[in-house]
Amino acid sequence: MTLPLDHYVPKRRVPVVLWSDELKGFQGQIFLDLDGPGHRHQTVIERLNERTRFLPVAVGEAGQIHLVNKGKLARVTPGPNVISTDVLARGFGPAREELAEVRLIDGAVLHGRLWMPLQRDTQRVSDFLNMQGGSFFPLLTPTTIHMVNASMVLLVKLAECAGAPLGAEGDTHAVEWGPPG
Amino acid sequence: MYYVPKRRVPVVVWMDSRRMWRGHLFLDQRGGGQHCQTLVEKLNENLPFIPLAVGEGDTIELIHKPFVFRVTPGAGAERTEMFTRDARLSRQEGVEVVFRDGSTLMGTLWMALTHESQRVSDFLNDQVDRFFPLIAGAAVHLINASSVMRVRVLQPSPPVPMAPGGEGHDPLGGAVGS
Repeated sequence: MTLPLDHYVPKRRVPVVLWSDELKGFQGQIFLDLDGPGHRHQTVIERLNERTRFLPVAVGEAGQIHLVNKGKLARVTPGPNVISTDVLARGFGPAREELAEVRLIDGAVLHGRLWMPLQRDTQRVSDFLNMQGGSFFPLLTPTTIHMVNASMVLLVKLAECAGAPLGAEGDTHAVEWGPPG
Repeated sequence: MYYVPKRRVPVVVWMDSRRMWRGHLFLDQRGGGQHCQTLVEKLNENLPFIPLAVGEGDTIELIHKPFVFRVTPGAGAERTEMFTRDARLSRQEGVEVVFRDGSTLMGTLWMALTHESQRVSDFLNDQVDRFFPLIAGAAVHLINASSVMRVRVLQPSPPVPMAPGGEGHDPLGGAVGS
């Protein structure tokens, strides 16, 4: 009698640190697909932005599996020795970085460069954030890449200002203009 | 570059009973006989992040609306910039609003009626993830329904204004529903 073969999806483990109101620096390893789309390895942010609600995390030396509700996480940071290309694949498409201060609902305040792929040249940070729903977006700091849960953001302070362009006659009272944010 | 003409309205944005941000929200200037956008309309747009200009340099902060408790128009904001009262039927109810953090606010809840027998509970159950006006003295607060833990009705409902145009008493001194 021939037994059916189990089907295993090849994975590799990447250490991460989870942050939320309840999980302060919770360390574990997540599993990334080795046969991701586009014939390249899956990245941490792609894993986080999968549609599944619960994220399997291996914890401790025994690798006990914890299923973490991604929607409750404020942010995820890569563990030590994780290379940036395992975290985020920037690709060759148009993208922009904006300096931002991100204040999270768990009280954390992060300063860094918000990286966003561009769907159009005039895309603002507000346009990008308003498309995120419950997705994670990258915030690059000198020491790490924070993957921030957009739904856990309290506010984002931008470096740019709401400067109003002058009218044709230099009339500053002619009209107020939309914010750049 | 295409710019959408906007006008600025001073507001105070309360993230809970203690943390607040002062700044200006940007309302659309509409043409073609349409009324200008109001704060309630702006807050009830289907976009979770809303730009707020703060400080003398007009730094932009993107406020995540689901975490806002209430927005209070600041000094200089016009009544017509807060919310429209063009409902045919309307009613006010004295209520106490209790927020998620336990803080409270008393005032008059102004609600446009979709039917004559509409109760406060019917109105609030239609406000999921929306902002509604609460009039407290001379101030108007725009309350995020999702930040409300409970609402206590302080007095029995007055009769529904049945006159054409839904005219009734306006706590701010104007004609309601006109």
